[in-house]
Amino acid sequence: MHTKRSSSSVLVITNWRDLAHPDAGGAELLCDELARGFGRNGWDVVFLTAAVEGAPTTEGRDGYTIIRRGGRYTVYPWALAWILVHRRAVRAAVDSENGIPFFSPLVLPRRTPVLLLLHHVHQDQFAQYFSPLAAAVGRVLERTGSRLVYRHRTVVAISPSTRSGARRRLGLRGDIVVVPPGCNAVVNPPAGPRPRSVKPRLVCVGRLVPHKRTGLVIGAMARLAERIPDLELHLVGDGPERVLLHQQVRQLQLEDRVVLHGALDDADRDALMATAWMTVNASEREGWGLSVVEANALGVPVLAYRRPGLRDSIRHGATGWLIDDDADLADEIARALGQLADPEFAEMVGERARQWVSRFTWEAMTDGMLDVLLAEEGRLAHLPGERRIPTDLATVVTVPKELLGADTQPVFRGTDRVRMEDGGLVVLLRGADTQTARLALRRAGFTPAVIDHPSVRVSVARPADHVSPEGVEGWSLGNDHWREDTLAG
Amino acid sequence: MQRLEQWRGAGNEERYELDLVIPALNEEARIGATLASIAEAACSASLDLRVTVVDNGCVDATAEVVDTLRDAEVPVGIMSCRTRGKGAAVRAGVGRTTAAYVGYCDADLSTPPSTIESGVDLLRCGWDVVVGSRRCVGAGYAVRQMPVRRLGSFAFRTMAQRLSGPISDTQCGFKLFRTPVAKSLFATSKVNGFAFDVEVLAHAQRRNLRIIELPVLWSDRAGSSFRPMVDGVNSFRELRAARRSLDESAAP
Repeated sequence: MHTKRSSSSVLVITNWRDLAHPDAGGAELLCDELARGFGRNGWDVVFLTAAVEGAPTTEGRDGYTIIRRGGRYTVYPWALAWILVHRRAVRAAVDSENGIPFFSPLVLPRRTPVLLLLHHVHQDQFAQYFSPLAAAVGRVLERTGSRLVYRHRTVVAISPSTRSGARRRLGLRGDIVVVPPGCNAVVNPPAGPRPRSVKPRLVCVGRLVPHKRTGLVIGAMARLAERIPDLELHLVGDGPERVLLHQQVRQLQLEDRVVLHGALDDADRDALMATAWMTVNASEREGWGLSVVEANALGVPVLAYRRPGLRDSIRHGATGWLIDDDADLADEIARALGQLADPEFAEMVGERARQWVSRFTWEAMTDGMLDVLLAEEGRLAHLPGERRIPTDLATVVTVPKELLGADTQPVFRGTDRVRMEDGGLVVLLRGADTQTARLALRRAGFTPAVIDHPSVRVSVARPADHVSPEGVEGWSLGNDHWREDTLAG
Repeated sequence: MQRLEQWRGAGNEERYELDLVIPALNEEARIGATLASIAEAACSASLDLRVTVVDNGCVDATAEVVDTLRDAEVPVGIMSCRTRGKGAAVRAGVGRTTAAYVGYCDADLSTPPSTIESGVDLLRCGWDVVVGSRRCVGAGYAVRQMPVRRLGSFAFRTMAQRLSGPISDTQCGFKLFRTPVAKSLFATSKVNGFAFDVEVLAHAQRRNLRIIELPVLWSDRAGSSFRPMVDGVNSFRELRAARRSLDESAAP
């Protein structure tokens, strides 16, 4: 855990909306939790966001301050003006990007750490929601603008998919660290066995917007009508597509089996979700899949397309099913429901889902962000020439428990991800390749005898390892004839 | 959720005849098909082959795509190399091999896999280095490159041949070596980028190794990580660096 700071340190978090906004979603929840988490760690958090009708301009809330100024577009200059005025008092900033980032490095001193928090990459999405011209402007601001303003500053991506998009689509040049968001349902898991409905039931939670492709699920329901006569679908959430989806339900004569609940409050939503056999997410892409994690926390498995974000939050075959783009959604739903008809199997999948998401807490996210922020502060304290050149490689090392003596207390860098499990220690060494992993382990305090032990295994990190490093059957460094000295230079 | 990594050949107990190194930088879209067709070719030719994918800094799912092909007949290992550049990645892969022969090819498999078998036959006959060539007699382009790249590669070739001697094509991404030869050549080479082939071949020429060119039918594929402007200019710079280091090593 991190110690409280004695001096007053101001952390600015920028996001276009806050939880008071009627269209608040996952990103707003994340920013709220982040602000509260940093507040608990002794930071003075200021949250800059757009004005909301009926909400005060300045509001103290759960240990942080919200300042609401400007509208959907004017919030950006308002926030920059605030930061400019207070730039000397600001110790660090987190710019939460919702298509267009806040560009606060423009007004902050070069040595003040700024993290760009990326939920997902919007390049393909602008055209779905804006006119061609506005979409082009959005794309340029997100891509070229971010690259020019954030330069080599560290980026926090909420999932490996977002990380990949930040490098490949946006061309960002800074180090990119994955910090997955937490989940509320994880904190308060409902007690007792799950009240699963008697009839097979699908519950889907999400805003009714085009890229979520809720229509595909309704379409699949029509094709499933004969095969699973008592199947029902419950849709929770509101949005611009609601009327359209209502029409679709009527046209397909599914009124008796598809229910559109509209927006529900959290308790009602969770109560309904807890009765589901499974949830289906037909979304084109997610940043991470908060609704996936929330369903999993209630013991409900998820079926989704193998798409950005979803392929990170779902463990195929363990916590749900990932299907390919050309798969038939109705067939896949039928197959999964067939398996879930066995209560023992359903119980096992539900338990695995709960276990998987139990690691995604808001505390873990705050700690992760804090680690990245401190690392960034350290990086900026170096002269430009001494700053580490970022590489996207990472290596996973597993050390069995027997080799972790009481006297070995390994110390890893803050942005490495360490996980203790029953078998021992699993660590994601960021920036190390399979050769330099040896050096990283030496630096962490392991003796050569431990490093070369045949049961210490190394492997190249897969995208999933950035979310949570897994124990892998890699190979042993001791059995590896490669040595730094053989091919120096 | 356990993954089984087939990283055999680390000790001496399991030797392969050929270790084929594939440097990869964000190749999730292309490497799957490449590995599948190499596996197919290896099986039909009954080659004792292992593939070593060298991750050169991927942010995409390259390693995961390789994982899905683990059940294939041909063993595949993944290692990584943090020094950027095709030369650095290949050097890391060569340094790690325990097979009798070692070679490398591109992740997009611009070279047909049947060439691998012909190359190994030549090594078995006693040749030290087999250089895939798109330019010697019997070779050709199945799909040609863009005119700009052809112009750039003409200029590069002219300069490269002053270093590497009478080799018609240094830049084809397919070469095979006897392993001791490869290890010593790569240990003395310094170029990390795309021009590393030239340096390695120049060293080979100076040591009077037995080098043979093998005609290949080349297909240009979209999606290469070679950026004609940036990497092109860098390649010329690397050539100059290679010449300097060769001159230094030649001086008594």
